[in-house]
Amino acid sequence: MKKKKLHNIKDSGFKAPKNYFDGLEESIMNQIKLHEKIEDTGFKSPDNYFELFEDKIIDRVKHEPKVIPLFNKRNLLYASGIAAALFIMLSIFINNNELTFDDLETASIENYLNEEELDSYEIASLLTEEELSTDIFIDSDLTSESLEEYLLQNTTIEDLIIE
Amino acid sequence: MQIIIEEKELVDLLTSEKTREKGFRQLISLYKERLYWHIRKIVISHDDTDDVLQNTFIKIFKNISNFKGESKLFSWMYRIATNEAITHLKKNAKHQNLSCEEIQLHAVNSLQSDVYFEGDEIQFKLQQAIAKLPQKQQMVFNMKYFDDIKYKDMSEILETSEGALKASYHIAVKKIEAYLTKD
Repeated sequence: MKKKKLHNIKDSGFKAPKNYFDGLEESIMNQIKLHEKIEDTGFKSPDNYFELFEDKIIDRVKHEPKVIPLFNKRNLLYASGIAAALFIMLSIFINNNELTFDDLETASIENYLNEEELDSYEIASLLTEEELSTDIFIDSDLTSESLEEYLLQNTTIEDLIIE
Repeated sequence: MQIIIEEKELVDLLTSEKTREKGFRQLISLYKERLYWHIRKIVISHDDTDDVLQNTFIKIFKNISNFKGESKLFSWMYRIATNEAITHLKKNAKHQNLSCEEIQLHAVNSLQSDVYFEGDEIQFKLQQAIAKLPQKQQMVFNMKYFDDIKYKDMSEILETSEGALKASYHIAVKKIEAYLTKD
């Protein structure tokens, strides 16, 4: 049984690259011919060159000024970290400006008063004695025209009818 | 086997700051000649080779802490040497407003008057033939034909597949043989 199976295998299954054998003979011949003609390059080095070389290099390595690059990545990261920390510290300690009423726009104040729906008693409580002197009303330049205009714009007829 | 054991010892010496100089001296001693001839075949003249070889070792010294053992130590060093040599060629080419091939051909053509070239007529012709090849093919040819570097190691140095290197080598041999047999 075994003998019969082996008998049937004719091919090893191995394959060579395409055109391999065509170029092979030529390649071998070329190499042989070349080796027959030439053994070495013909270059030569100066006498004692190699003997003196080692010390030459060690000298150079020892005496080369060490250049420490200032701008390598690690240093840049450290520097920016320090700069950021300084910036934050400074902005906290130097910024003494507090908000004053001058910073607020009149319009914002008006909007606030409108929305808060303060009644006249609450506003009145904020006024001081000096501010409340009757002089304000006596010396005002209120003309009848401006008074009329004010009444027309800010009140309705119902408000003016006193019951 | 011997070289692998030496490499491990070397790397240990180089990693520790106390023994770094000792390790570096050993490194120079072990590899200066191989690297010299490798560079010389690229830049052709002795003086240029001396420049490049020195720069190569300085670079090796400065970067030895970056060597992670992912490749063999000598492959890593050969790669540095190769890059330094090519950079040198490019720099010369730029200065003289020529291409790298022109620079090399120039250098080869002045070999016969070079005191550090003692080759005969056919060796001179060979250098001319090599200089006409594409840069990588030149290196593959030199490394295989003269230095007998294994394709496996060459693959690490030149960062190219072994198959591509073998093909490149056969093409180079064919071209060179053709150049040497004409006339």
